[in-house]
Amino acid sequence: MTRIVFLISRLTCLELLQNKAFRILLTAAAIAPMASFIFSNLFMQNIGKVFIDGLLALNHLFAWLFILFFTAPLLGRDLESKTCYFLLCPPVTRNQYLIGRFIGLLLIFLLLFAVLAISGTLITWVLFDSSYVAYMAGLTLTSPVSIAFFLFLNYLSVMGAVIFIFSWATGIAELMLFSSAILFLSWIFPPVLNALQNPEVAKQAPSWSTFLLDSIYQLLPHLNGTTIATSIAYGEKIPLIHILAFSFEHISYVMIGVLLASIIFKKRDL
Amino acid sequence: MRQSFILKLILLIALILALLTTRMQYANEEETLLTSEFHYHSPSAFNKLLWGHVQGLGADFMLLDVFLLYDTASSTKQKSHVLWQALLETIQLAQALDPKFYDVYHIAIPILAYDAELPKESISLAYLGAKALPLNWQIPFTAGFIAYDTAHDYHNAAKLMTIAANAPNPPSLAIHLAARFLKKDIDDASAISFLKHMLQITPKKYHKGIKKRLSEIINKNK
Repeated sequence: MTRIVFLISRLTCLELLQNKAFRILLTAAAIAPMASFIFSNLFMQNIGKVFIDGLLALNHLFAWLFILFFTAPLLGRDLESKTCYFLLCPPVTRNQYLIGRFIGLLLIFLLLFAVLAISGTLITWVLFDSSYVAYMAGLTLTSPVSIAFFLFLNYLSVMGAVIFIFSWATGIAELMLFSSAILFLSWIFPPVLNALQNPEVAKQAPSWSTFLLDSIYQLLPHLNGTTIATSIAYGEKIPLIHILAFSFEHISYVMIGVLLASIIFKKRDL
Repeated sequence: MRQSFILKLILLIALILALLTTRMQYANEEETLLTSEFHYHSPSAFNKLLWGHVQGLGADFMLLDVFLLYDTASSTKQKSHVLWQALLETIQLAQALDPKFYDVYHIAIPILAYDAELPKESISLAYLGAKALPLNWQIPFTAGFIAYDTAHDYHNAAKLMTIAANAPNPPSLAIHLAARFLKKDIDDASAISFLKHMLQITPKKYHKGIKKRLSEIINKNK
């Protein structure tokens, strides 16, 4: 079983690496942190903090681009052009195909974040020289790596949600629509829930709305990696137990997504 | 087959329970509302919603807007209340999006006090800065002087200067001024000394208002 999963994941990786658009994305990921450095030089004191803000935004942007324009279309094409039929010939089972595809996508997603982390670290090392020491504001050589790590785990949950959607979607359009919806809702729910805690807003909102929104939010992946990554970048100490809980939360979410997907995909009529 | 399905179901339920338990235990703490003695209009929740998970970047862009608004407001010959009010709202938004962004306080506190002639808003902003950055002595130090010199609010002046004096590595001037403010005993020499220090730490572009106040004190003595 392992060999088949390995072969399918290898195929997925090669499919993406040979995609011209993905190579452009990877190149852009290598260069983009430079734009963040240039932007940070418009400021006076907290240059390191501005650089970190730029890196965070870039990590979010590249994650969205990968999920919407590479993950969803690749899986959608399998369904629409029936490519999955070639892969689902015996002895390949549906579970092996699903897990193989998922692992392949995950490895390439990891590659993307690794490129962002390495590029950010190189820029920090080379360009933030001794003249910037007073303006670093918590930026260290490990900051780009910690940002990439936390946001990778964050969007791992979203990938789990996407693979779940793939298990019942009928084509690219449905996959992209629901993947966009998951990303959009995960993005706006935390600020909405925070806004409901404001006394002025809470007065006007119905009492059941907070409970309903909170319940719906529990079904979505939580994009809470930014908070931890920013705190670490500001030089604040986060207890190890919080980092472990964060990692466990997202790994368990993705496992739930893959498990549900395998149950549904096994029984669906392709 | 049935056994495998049941095992998957059990594993699924276990994972869901583990996920919910983890989320409930390490849920985000509620944001505590920052307060100061002055009324401070906080920006709408919509602006925070707009910037989502990149509020730090939002604060950076708001600060760039502050630079632009300052250039426009300070270059118009007639004093424009509307422009300075827009500047104040942009500063408030930048602070709300990222309370730990030091550049906001560093630029906004002297601008609001000396250029926009809004010393109370400047002091209010300084209280928020002192709370968000408790290890920083410069924010309460600057605002303490502004409270004494421009707003003539001796109570808040002493309070802010004491906060500055109690922060790590404060300058001796902060300790000296804290004592003097508490006794309501500040001479022009100390005021001139402080404003000259402000000229050294603030970018040249924002010296206009500070130089104007410095010349007022010097001319008063002549």
